[in-house]
Amino acid sequence: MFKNLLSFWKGKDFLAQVLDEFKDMLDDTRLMYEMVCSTLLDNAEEPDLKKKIYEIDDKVNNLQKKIRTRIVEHLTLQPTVDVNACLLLMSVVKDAERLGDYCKNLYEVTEIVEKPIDRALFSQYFNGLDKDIMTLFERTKEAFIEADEGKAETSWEYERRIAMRCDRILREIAKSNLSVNEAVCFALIARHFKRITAHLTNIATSVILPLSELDYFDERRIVE
Amino acid sequence: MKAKRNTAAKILLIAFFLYLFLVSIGLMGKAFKGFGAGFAENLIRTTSNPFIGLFIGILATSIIQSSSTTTSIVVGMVGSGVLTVGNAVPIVMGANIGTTVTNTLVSLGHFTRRDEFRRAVSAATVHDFFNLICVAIMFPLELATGVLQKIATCMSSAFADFGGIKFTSPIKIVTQPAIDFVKHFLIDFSGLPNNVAYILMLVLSIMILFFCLFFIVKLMKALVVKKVEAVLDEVLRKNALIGIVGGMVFTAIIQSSSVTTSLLVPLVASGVITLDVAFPITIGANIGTTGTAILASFASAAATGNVSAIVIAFVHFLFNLTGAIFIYPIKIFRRIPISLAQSLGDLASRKRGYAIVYVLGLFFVVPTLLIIISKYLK
Repeated sequence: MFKNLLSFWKGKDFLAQVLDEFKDMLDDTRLMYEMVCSTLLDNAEEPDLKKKIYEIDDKVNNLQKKIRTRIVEHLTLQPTVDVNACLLLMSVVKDAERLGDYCKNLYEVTEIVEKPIDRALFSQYFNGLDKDIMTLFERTKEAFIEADEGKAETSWEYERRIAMRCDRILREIAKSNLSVNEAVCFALIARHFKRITAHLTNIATSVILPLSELDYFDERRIVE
Repeated sequence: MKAKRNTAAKILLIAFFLYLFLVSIGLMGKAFKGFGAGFAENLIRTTSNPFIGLFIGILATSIIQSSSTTTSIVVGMVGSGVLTVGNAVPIVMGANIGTTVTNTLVSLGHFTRRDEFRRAVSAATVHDFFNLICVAIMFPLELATGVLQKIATCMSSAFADFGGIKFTSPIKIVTQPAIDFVKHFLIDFSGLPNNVAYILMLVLSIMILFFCLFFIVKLMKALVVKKVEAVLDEVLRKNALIGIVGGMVFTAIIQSSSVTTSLLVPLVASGVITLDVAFPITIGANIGTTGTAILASFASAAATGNVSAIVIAFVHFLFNLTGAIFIYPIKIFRRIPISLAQSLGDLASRKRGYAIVYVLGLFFVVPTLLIIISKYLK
């Protein structure tokens, strides 16, 4: 009883609590991505995938609302404490929520694809890009949670390569002899991969960018 | 380690300001006593009209924005015998209405966003309407029957029988040397005429009271706010009883209902909590804020030996407790302040100037006019 009362009184620090919830958002979106990719690209059987994806997306959306609520509560009680952290969190939870949306969009590709994707053909265009993004999920989480500037810089480099590759894929598809269905699906995948990468990089680079520059890592790169 | 040192320093400072607060109440009692019987008679005559007392309570508290200060001064006056318990009851009730001005002023900060402003005004004025309804019920009832005063007298006599005055003697032991020092300095050594010295003593005691309450609230808030934040979800998202207890405990610790209710305004305005969730916390804050006057009454009783100070502090407590017990549990009664606050919120969001008219009217213009009219009619 006393232990319970003590833990109730001690509670959990605002930032620790919010970071835990944000970590959950990143883990959930990574799981969504992993499940969709294994079904879409590796033709793995995942029963009730649609239901699962939509449920996880709901969970991610609710976590976003929960974090926003905590931020409002925190700034009401302590208006001068952690202001920058709160503004930053307000920005990155939006990115994490968008990750969920793009994973959902990626799932929707599985519904329009007419025949299972030929992995060899896919690799010819994408060249392991799906695996790179999986790695980027991990690096982003580590960079953000540990506030590791080195890992954030690495994510930034990853983004550049992936974004350039996605643009090139679109140009190649435009000139290819792929069927309409394959071309549309590949183009959508390339587009969603690029957006997922951009949002992950927004999160990772928030560790190194000033608050006013958040989300504009590409402009910053040109300057540097 | 640094955080622990900071916390220890804050606790020591709170203890110091609490000590000064108790000294100020004792000093106030000595100053009022020093003014002599003529002053007491005059003051008792002025406040003998309960309506004037009520409006003085509203106006004084609206101006200083702290019911703790008003009720502590009233407790000091009753303890020193310059104010009777009967005359003090309406002032305490008025202080309850006046204290709601602070969160209403906070709600005006949401002026620029219409929907947010509507919710903010509702959150702030639910406290006003609740206290107005309590006064509308309890003020005539008290005038007719003196029920609160009777119960409070019973409570305080029981308290005295169980050694209430003895209980307060440790306070006397620690505060008396400081009170005597100031008294000797002003009366015996300063060479000032007695009347001037006592006026100076009164001014000094009120200044110390203000100063101490200001810093106690500030330090207490800094000390407990992190803990409150950690358990906020437990209070906000559970049942109404937890809300009442949470609001009461938080307010009793920081000694300011204005802080509690003002914190609720932005939470309701931003949609984090609803008015129905904020209302029980507000009621809890109403009860919790009576702790300051009870503390002051112990100091006053210790300094003067007069249990009346404890009686008026208990009247304040009983008044707020009665309101909570009779209004909140009955759904139809509970909806009245909420509906009135929502209607005012709707009106203020359509014509935002109404909110300003409401604040000026209820807290400043109407009480001032009624005091003048009552005096003139007299």
